[in-house]
Parts: sequence; C-alpha cells; structure tokens
Amino acid sequence: MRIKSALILLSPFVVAVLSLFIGTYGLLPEEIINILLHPLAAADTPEATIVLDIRMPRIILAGLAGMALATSGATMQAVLRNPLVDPFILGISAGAAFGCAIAIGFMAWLPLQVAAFIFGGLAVLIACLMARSGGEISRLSLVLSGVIVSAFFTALLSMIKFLVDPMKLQNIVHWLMGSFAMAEWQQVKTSGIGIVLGCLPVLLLRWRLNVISMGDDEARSMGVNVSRKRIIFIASSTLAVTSAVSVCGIIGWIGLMVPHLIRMISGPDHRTLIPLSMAGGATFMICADTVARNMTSFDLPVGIITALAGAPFFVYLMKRGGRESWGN
Amino acid sequence: MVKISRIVGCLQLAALVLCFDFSAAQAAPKGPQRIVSLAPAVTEIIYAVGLGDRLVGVTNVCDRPAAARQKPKIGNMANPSLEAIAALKPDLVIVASKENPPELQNRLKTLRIRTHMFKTSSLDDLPTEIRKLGKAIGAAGKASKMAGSIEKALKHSLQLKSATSTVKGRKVMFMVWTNPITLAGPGTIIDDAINDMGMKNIAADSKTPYPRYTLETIMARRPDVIVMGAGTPGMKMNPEPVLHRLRMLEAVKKGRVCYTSDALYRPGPRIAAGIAELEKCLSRQ
Repeated sequence: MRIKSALILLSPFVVAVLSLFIGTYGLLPEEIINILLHPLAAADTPEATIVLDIRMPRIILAGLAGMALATSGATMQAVLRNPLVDPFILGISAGAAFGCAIAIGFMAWLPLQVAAFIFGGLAVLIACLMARSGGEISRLSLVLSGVIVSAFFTALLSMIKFLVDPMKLQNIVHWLMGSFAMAEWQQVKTSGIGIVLGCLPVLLLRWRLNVISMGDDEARSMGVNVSRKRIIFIASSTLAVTSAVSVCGIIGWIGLMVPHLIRMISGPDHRTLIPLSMAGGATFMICADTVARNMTSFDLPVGIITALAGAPFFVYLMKRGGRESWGN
Repeated sequence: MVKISRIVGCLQLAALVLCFDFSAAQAAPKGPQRIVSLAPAVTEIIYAVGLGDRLVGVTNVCDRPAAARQKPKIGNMANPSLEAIAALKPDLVIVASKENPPELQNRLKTLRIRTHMFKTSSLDDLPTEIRKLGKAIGAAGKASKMAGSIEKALKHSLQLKSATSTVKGRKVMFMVWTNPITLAGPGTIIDDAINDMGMKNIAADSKTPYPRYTLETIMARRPDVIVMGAGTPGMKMNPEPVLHRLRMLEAVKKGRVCYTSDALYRPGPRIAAGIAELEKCLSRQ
C-alpha cells in the first residue's frame, strides 16, 4: 500500500523528466542531458531553447493544471457528496469560456487570461449567492445554481460565437478545446501562484473533507463548521481551477476521472486521496499533453485527448459496478 | 360602327406595339440589375468592375470597399439568410464554392432565384472564374482585364520558378494567425502562390488548409523565410511574442521576416498585387 502511494507520488516527476526527451524536434538524449546539466553554457542555441523554453514550461504548466483539476474534482465530489461532479460544476468553465469569448470578440484590450479568470470566479460567486437561503448553502441548491449559471453563460457564449467573424470564432473554439501550445515561463509563474494557493488549503484541511462527506448533521455533531468549511473548500478549488483554466482553456475529464482512479487504488480516505489525486492529476495531464504534441505534426488540443480517454474509462467504471470507487 | 371599332382596335394595337418598341429602343441595360454577393471577394470584384450600384445585398463580412458596408446585409458566409436574400428580389445571386454551404445553391434554385457559382478553390483557375463571373454580371470587358493582370502576375512568378536564382526552393512559412499559430496550408490561395513561385511551403503535407503547428515542429522544419499575414480589421496580429519564441530560427536571426497585407486572403481584385507583394518578400536576400 505504501509502495503504491509512493509510486503515485513520484510519478509526476518521472513522467515530466521522460517527457522532456520526447518531441518533434529530434534531439538526442545526450544533447538534452547536456543542456540540463549546463544550461548557461548552451544558452543561445535552438536546442537549448527547445528544451528549456518550450518543452520545460509546457510540461510544468501541464503538471500544475492537472494537479489543480484533480484536486478540485476530489474536493467538489466530497463537498457535494456526488461522484459525478467535476470541478466545473459550479459554472467555472462556462464563465471562463464566456470571458474568453467576450475578450476575443469585443474587448480586444482585455487579456484573455484576466477575462477568463474574472468571469470564471464570477460564475461561482453568482452560483453560491443564488444557492444561499437563510444563511445556509445546501448541496442541492449549489448544484442547481451551478447548472443554471452554466446554462446562462453558455447561452451568452453561443450568442457571441454567432456574432463574431470567422477568424475570431476559430480563435474562441480553439481556446475552448484546451491546449498548452503557447505555454511559457511567465504563465507558469502567474497561474502557478494561483494553483498552489488554491491547492494548499485543501491539502492542509483534507481530513475535514472526510467529515463533511459523512453528512451535514454528522459533521456538525463533530464540531465542524460545515458552511464555513464548504466556502473555504469551494473558494480554494475555484482559485486553483480558474488559474489553470485561464492559461490552458477548458480541459475536461481529469477532474472527474483521476479522483475515481485514485479511490480505486487507495480508497476514499481524503487524507490519502487528496495528495495522491494531486500527483495523479499532474501525471495524467503531462502524459496527455505529451501525446497531444507528438502524435501528429499538428498540435492537438489536450482536451480532445482527455475526452477520448475519459469516455471508455467510465464505461469500465460502470461495468465494475463503481462500488470500489465510491465508498458509500 | 364595325369599321370604327376596327379602327380603334388597330389604333390600340399600334399604340401597344409602338410603346413596346419604344421601351425596347431605349436599350435595356445588359445584365442583371439586382445582384446579391455571398462572399467578400465577389463583392470586391463587383465594385472593381464598376457595377457596385447594382449590388443590393452583401454578407456582414463584406468590408471592402468602404461603400459595401452600407449595403443591406443578408447574414454571414457560412449561414446566409434565405429570407433576407429572397426579400431583396435579386435577379442574380453569386455563390462562392468554398465559403458558402454546399446546399445553398440548390435551395436558391428551388426559390426560383438565378444563381452563379464562383469557384474559389485554386489560384490558377481564378482568371477563368473571374471572366465567367464578368460575363454573368454583364461586365465581361473589365473582368477580362482583371483576369489578365492576374495572369501576368502568375507568369512573372513562373520566372522565379524557372530562374536559377539562389532563392528557388526556399522553405516558406506563411503565418495567418499567431495565437494559436496557424499557417496557410494546401488548398489555400497562399499555398498556390508559394508553389507557383517554385518555393516550398513547410505546411505542404498538412491534411487541412489551415494547420496549427507547435513551436517545436516549426523549429524542426526550419523555414528559410517567415511571412506574417495581416489579420483582419477587427483583429490585429501581434507577431512579436511568437517571433521571440522562434528567435533561434535562422530566418528570424537573419531578419528574413516580412509582413504582408491581406491581399492574398480573398480571391478578388487584389490578388495580382498580393502575388507581387509575396514575390518581393520571398526573393529578398
């Protein structure tokens, strides 16, 4: 059991290093090792640029985004006590997509990342405010508000897609499919901060997720302030996901699949589930991105790869009965 | 009595014939009077041959010349409104083969609207297509002149192809958009123009006309010249960040980067100028 956990925790680093060696530019392993060992000496060559400026930030960003999505997926599944929930349930993806569309379509002065971040967060805020009744936010009303907010922003998004010219439309659609193509160190820094700040509270408070997932009354009887904790978990997970989504677009299935996979391997205890989901999400995303950038000479959007992997996975899960991946 | 009615009848007939003759003698202008264009390239051609005032409907992306923006709109290229077109009572609608949906021409035919198909797929066929369009709208002479200037430009490109200059066989990358990095590939006019000049498009093996490549793939293919297109009026291209990330390419280091207009984007009157512009760019040392 410990060995499995250790392997999963190490996997993102192993996969990241291996991915550095894979790419369309045709670099020999010796060259890459040389560049890694003497980064300053080789600084101005195309080979060094490829390894240090193109592949490395892309792999790191993919790892961070995967970590954010998987952690957030596990968190939302616990907070809403629903195994079919993904990090976008409260409207983040629809809000961010709308932000991106409006920035590309009508407000060219607004940077894409900022717009996606703002509207993603706004969508969740609206959903939470709508779900409030008598100072309490219940799970059901949260999910329903999320559905409503998503539907609303999706409708606005459709409107924008209809109104803009073909070039802008192509831009919007490409962003929606999710991609790490233009990843650079600047993005790693800016979104990395948000992702780490979002995942940290969840990591530190993870045992309370065990308590919350037992039920509101149970949790309260154990002295856990359910409403406040719910807000903290939702806020952190939203911060992590909007930071990720603002740089890479909407990449689905990771937040849904990875927590289930980890539960099947090491059980539903959130004290292990959260760290292992973080690692598992990072590994999964790095692998998906490596496939996306190397399978053809095109740059496939990562979202397509994760979706193609996600559907069969769920068929498998269904066939197995799903009991092992959802404790209760 | 009978005689008078007969005389009146003859007079009426004569009047009818004379009126008919009179209007016929006024020489009705040749060609359709109410034309609807379903592609920006077609709109530009119609204005260029001087028949802009016969245009009664355009798409909402028909932005050149400026006068076209004032014309009634019938929707966009991919989804024009049949009702709007029919309401304009056109006597000729010009459909573009690639830009409009394939079933559009049949739908217009069932509405008993005359259509003309303008094929926009290849650069080499463009002069012929322009001449056909000119005949359909009643401006054969001017259209022929436009076609002639394109043929001249193409012939000039062939010189580059057959010459034993150092620039023959250069690898070209034509970037249509920077985020995501989108290149012009096979099936586009830009690609045809590049091939006609004897140069190679690094995106020649792509399966789609506007492929998106990763930075790494572009660096692996080592283009000799980079051409940056112009974007659209609503979206300015921002080439600096991409050029910075590609700074290790020989082309960027030696400054073989040029910026062109969008003349080659539409198969219309500006093609000849676009070919000349591209030629100048690609034959630079």
